[in-house]
Amino acid sequence: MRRIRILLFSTVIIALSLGYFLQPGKKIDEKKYLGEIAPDINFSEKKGSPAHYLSDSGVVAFNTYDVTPSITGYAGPIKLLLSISDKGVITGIKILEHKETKNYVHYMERPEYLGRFLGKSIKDKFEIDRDVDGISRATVSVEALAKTIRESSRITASNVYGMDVSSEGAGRFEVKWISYLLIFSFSLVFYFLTRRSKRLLRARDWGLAAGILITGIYLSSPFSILHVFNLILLRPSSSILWLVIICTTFISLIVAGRLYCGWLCPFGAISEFIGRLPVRKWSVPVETDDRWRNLKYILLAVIIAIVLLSRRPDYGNYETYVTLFSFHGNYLTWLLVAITLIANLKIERFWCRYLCPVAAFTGILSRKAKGYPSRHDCPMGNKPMPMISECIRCNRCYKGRG
Amino acid sequence: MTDIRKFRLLAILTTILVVLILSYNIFGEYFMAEIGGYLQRRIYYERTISKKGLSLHKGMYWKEKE
Amino acid sequence: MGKKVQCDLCPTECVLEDYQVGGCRVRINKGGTLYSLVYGKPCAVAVDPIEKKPFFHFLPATTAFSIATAGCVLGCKFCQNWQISQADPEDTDNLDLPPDDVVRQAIFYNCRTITYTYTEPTVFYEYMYDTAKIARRFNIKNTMHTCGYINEKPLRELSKFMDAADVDLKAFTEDFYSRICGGRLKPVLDALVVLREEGVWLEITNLIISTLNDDIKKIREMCSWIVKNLGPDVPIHFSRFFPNYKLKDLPPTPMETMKNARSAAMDAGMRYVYLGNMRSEAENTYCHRCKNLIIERHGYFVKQNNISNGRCRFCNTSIPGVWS
Repeated sequence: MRRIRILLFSTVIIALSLGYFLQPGKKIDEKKYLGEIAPDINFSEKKGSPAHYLSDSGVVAFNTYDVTPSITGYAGPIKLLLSISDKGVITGIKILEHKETKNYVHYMERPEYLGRFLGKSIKDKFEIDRDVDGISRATVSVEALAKTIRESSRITASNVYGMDVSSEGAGRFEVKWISYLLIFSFSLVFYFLTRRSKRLLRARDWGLAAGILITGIYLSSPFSILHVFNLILLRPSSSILWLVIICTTFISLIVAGRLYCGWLCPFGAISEFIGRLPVRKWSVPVETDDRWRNLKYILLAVIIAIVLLSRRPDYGNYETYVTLFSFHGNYLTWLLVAITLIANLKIERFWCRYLCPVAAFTGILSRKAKGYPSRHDCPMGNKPMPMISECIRCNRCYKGRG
Repeated sequence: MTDIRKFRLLAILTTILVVLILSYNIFGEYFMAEIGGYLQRRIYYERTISKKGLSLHKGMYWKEKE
Repeated sequence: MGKKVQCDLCPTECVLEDYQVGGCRVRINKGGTLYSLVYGKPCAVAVDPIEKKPFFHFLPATTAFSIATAGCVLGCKFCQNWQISQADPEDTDNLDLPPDDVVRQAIFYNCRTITYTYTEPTVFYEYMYDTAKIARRFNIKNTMHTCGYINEKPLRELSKFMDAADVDLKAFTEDFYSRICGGRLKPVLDALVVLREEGVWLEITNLIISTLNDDIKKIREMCSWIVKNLGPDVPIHFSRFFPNYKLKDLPPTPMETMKNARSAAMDAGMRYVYLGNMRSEAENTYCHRCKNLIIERHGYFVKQNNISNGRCRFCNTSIPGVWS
């Protein structure tokens, strides 16, 4: 365990510093262009997730590439510097970089054309030849431009101003973070109660079910290793829900180790419920099992290196719960979701034991705790007297004082 | 097959899958744009353009890039 | 994969990856070599009066063997021939007509000229170039109706065999070219000057579209530019717009606008100003000196012709153009 901790910690440091030296090479001087699109406004340093510049007047500026890197035109993303007001109106626009065919899109870059986006509300439709002018022979590029502006400004507005523009984003923001806080408090309270009385263990199942519904389906934001990366890269989101999820997870880590995994994680919950189906489990020798459990630390080290070197958290994402609950992924990630769900029939909490980067993260940060000897119905299939990093604190086997 | 062999197989498979996902994350943008675009163009050419009996007459006024 | 290729034919200067087709739809990079897909593969072939091109000062009342392939270097939203100009060559019905067959057919149909027209002849440059070369040997004249969006080198080379060009000057603002046509104005103006320098007979067509390029100040500016850079003898055809392609919601251009444009051009010093796509006396040619009617036209048909040996029959002034 100590070796793993040292390995991961040094990976963080090396990747972080190496990445720092690798990055600045082709950085666009956004500060310079800020003065161009909003000459009279003083902006803060870039911060938050997605990254943006704040100002006293309430105007927010951002590089669209930080927000929606995946929207591409004919040849890659169109990077824009945008500024929007707290009323959700576009106040400044500038194309920083693109790889479209110059002679098709030269008009798109001109102030006469871009100027038409100024004063538009981010709630507008941004449809070509309706509320956005098309350019002959540059249709693909213009569509990408309009989509980049629309999506990135909506995401930023919802993060910074709490503005809800997407049609499907049901529920107000207060409701969201309060509901997560409730479900967390429920788990924490019953965590301590079940340490005293085994009769209350059934409550954990209710909590897990609620976690699937609320954290998973309603909020679609289970705790992800990407949260940690954004924190390390100093790109915290200003959304309250994000802060609540981060803070509660860290608090629980200090007081109750992998409480999140055992009580809150919606993917863990589904895995555990599937694992309870009456199917004979594979019998895997303890040594083999132990060896494979180390895999998640190696994977964590790999994605730490990838993300901190590239400064792109999305590169390190293979988490099944992100795919499943955001309903967003490619064939490969969906395949992984399917496999890791079905595998639970034969091996309890397959994903949590061998692959999950959050499990690795919470595992190495779990403090020593007495009273968890494991037993035959351990939801993690832990061996007797397991390492505390493998314990998800379901309290079934708890033998403590009281 | 014994349980342990099945387990090893599954574990190795999922590990490969994770590695694939990570490489796709990183190289997907370039890979898809380059190879995917090429395949798309090539398939369109072979299936549609070349069957139409159009000419392949060497053009005037062009140069190699790079 | 083959190397990237840059096409230098038109000012778009597409950089093409292997197996990528250019913006013109008819030039492809295959294995690091640029090929024309439409050499000898016209999708439109017809025998037209030369007046239809429109050429009003070029062998009046003769016929022109007209050919076009699919594709265009621009993408004008008002295109009259968009079914072929904005189509891929694999989607059009193409004939098999190599250059020598074009000339043979032109002779067979008794055409004095071959015209490269309908779409944009620049896109089938090699086909046009080879045909023009052969046609010249058989004493058939070559004319083209082009948007003038072509680079200087290929244009100069082509000019050796080109007798006349009708250039669509679509507007006199960069904005119009960018937004409506997907091109730029500057290269077109450059091409006009090159054609003039190379001694190719020039006529200019300008389609007037309400609200888009009907600003009389700009028309005046354009005419002054023509007079200054190309001379007052260049005939200009103002063409009336009718809703088409992607511009179906605009009205036909009012007669009033057309007439205003004509007088603006005359005021700027242009000697031969015609109005097209509408019936009026502005289809006729009047001698710039004695103002007598020298060619009377009805649509594309010449009713009387008072030019002999290239001179006005009334005042013996030499009339600019190609008359024999």
